[in-house]
Amino acid sequence: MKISRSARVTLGASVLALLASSSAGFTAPVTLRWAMSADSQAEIGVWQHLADMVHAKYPDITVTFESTAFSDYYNKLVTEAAADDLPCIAGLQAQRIPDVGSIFIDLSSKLGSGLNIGEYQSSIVDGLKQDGKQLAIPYDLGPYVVYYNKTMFKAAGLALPKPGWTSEEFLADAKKLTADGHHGFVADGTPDMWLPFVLSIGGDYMKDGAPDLDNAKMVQGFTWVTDLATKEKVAPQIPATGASNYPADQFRNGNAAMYIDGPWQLINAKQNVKFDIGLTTVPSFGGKSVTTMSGTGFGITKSCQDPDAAWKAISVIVGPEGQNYIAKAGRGFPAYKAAQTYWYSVADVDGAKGAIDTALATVNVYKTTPKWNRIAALLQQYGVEAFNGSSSPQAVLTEVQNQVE
Amino acid sequence: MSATIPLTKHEAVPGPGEHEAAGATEHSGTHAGNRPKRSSRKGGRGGETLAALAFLAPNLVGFLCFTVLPIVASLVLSFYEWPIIGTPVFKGLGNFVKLFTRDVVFWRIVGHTLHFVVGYLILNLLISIGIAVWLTGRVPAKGFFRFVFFLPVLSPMVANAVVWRLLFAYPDGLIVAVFRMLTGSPGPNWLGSPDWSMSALIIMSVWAGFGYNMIIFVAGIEGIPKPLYEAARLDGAGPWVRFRHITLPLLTPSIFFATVMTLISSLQVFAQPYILTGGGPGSSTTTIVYYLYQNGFQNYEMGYASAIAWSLFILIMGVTAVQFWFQKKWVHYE
Repeated sequence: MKISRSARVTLGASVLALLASSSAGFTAPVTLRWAMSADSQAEIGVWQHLADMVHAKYPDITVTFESTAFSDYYNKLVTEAAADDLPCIAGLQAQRIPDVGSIFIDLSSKLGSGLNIGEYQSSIVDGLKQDGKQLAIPYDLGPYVVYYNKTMFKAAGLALPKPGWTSEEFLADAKKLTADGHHGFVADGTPDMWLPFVLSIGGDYMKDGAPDLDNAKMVQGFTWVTDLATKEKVAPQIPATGASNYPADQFRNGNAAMYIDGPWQLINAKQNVKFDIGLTTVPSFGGKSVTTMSGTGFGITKSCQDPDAAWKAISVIVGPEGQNYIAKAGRGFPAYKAAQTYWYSVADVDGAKGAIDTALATVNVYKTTPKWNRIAALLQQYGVEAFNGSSSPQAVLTEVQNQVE
Repeated sequence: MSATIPLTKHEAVPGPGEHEAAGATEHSGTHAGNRPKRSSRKGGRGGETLAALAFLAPNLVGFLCFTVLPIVASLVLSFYEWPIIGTPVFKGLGNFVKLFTRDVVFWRIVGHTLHFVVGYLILNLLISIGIAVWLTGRVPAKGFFRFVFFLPVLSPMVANAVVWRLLFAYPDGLIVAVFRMLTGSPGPNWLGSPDWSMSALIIMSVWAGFGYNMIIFVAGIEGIPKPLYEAARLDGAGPWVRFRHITLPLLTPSIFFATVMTLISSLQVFAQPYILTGGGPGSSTTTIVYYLYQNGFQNYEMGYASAIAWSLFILIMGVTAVQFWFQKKWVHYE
């Protein structure tokens, strides 16, 4: 077969045009691994939906989601880091940065494109920084607030607590709520449960970047909380347990009228209790109420081969649409401020907005030290003795401090 | 068995499973020409060795990859400061020196582990022997009782621990309710008091584990010749004397086996403190393996965790060696 000269020229031009177009606009399909903790099929569904949203917006990017239960998530992540088999995108909780921050790249140079970081809650944006490097973009955050059983408050003839209430009011209410085998409050040694009391009296748990657990203010704040169980008897004695959130169980089954937790628990809690829930701030001491907070974001790991595609994926996952979806699914209190109103309407809980807004105004971003995970576990383990009176709060804090030095 | 005795088997009719090997032998013999018999033996030996290796391979590869290699690796790790992320630093015996001389809780934890081992071992043996003796007597529905007592062994320890956590709950758990009914007081706060938490752990573990030893003892007792009991009865021996002078001495090989195995497994106890008490209150239920886990997976100090693992291994080996040495004095193999 003979091909005419003009046909050959046309063919050649077409091939050249095709090559040119591929180098200019066409990109090869890329598959990115994304790891995040998930403790239920519903949560996996939420993450998978966000992964699908990435593919819908960027058809050449496919995100494969890998889930691990929260209790094992960071173990798996560091093991994958050791084996040089990290996923491209990974979830990162602010309190884990000292331990695993080194496996994430700095996203500061990418912040201009795809999303506006100024539209995200600044406290958690700062919480996900290490030495000035932005290691992750937040998807949720939450100040620790007081959850209360509205039904029990009403039954006891008490006014519902308002954001900004005082420690005296808290104690008086807790006493009235303690009756018939029920307690006004419940807490355990987990630092999230009682550090707000330390911060509110002007204490700190770190000194020069290292844990400083048995300083005078720490002892004073921790003692105030453990006294609720040992002296005031408005909180129950607690068991040593391998379960992760004993106080939440006691609150949800109606044994205790108040406890401290983050807003990410709210929608789950609401669905699992037979009473009305309200939220308020941690009580103030001398007019000051400072709580801790937590939050999680997504970052790009150092072994990611295609950080640009990963950034595009993250900008969808935590972008406005993704954040609205997170709020609607009730997965977490969104870090994207415009989506927060939506979350409040979905949550539909009395006082939630007032409590969270007031708490965020004075929140401590809860910076942590390396091995904070271990410190928190030891405080829970040894704290039982302080709540049950078999050891003093000071002895417990000193014991843990000695073990982590 | 046939694969291990090829030379004596070749001229016989191949047994079950030998056809292929025999076929291979003939084949190689043909190739060798004039001396088929001798060659067949040589080829057969090689062929059967290969066949044996082929059959062993799946197990052997698994054993090498998932048992031998990790053991050797953990020994290497124990000489390093080995963070999971970051660069390992060689420490020589540093981890062991720190563990034995500077660790503020290690010896306390060894004490707690031994507390568990002694309590668990004694209670386990007493209860399993007692119930085995009872179930080998004239009891209706023996099979049913054996099944019931063995059932906890089959259920997962995690599930057991979760159920027992509810039973021990204070002040509204079932055990507290029973105490209150019997004595008027709620009794101890089992999981909240460092004085009682280890007892709670032992009680739960004995409940979950005695069925295994019970089955061993039932088999041991049923293996004792009946005429011995009949002769003793004719001589006027009562139940206690028969137990003390016939059952117990003839059961010593079973008791020895059960003691060795129970001691090893109780020194390695992990799931119970992990699920039931989280090692607390304080360190009261932290055992050596739980401490190892905390160092490996909360502290991410794999080198230190490996040093703890090897210390435990040496402890178990030592205790077991002493048991084997001591058995000559009390175990009757008759």
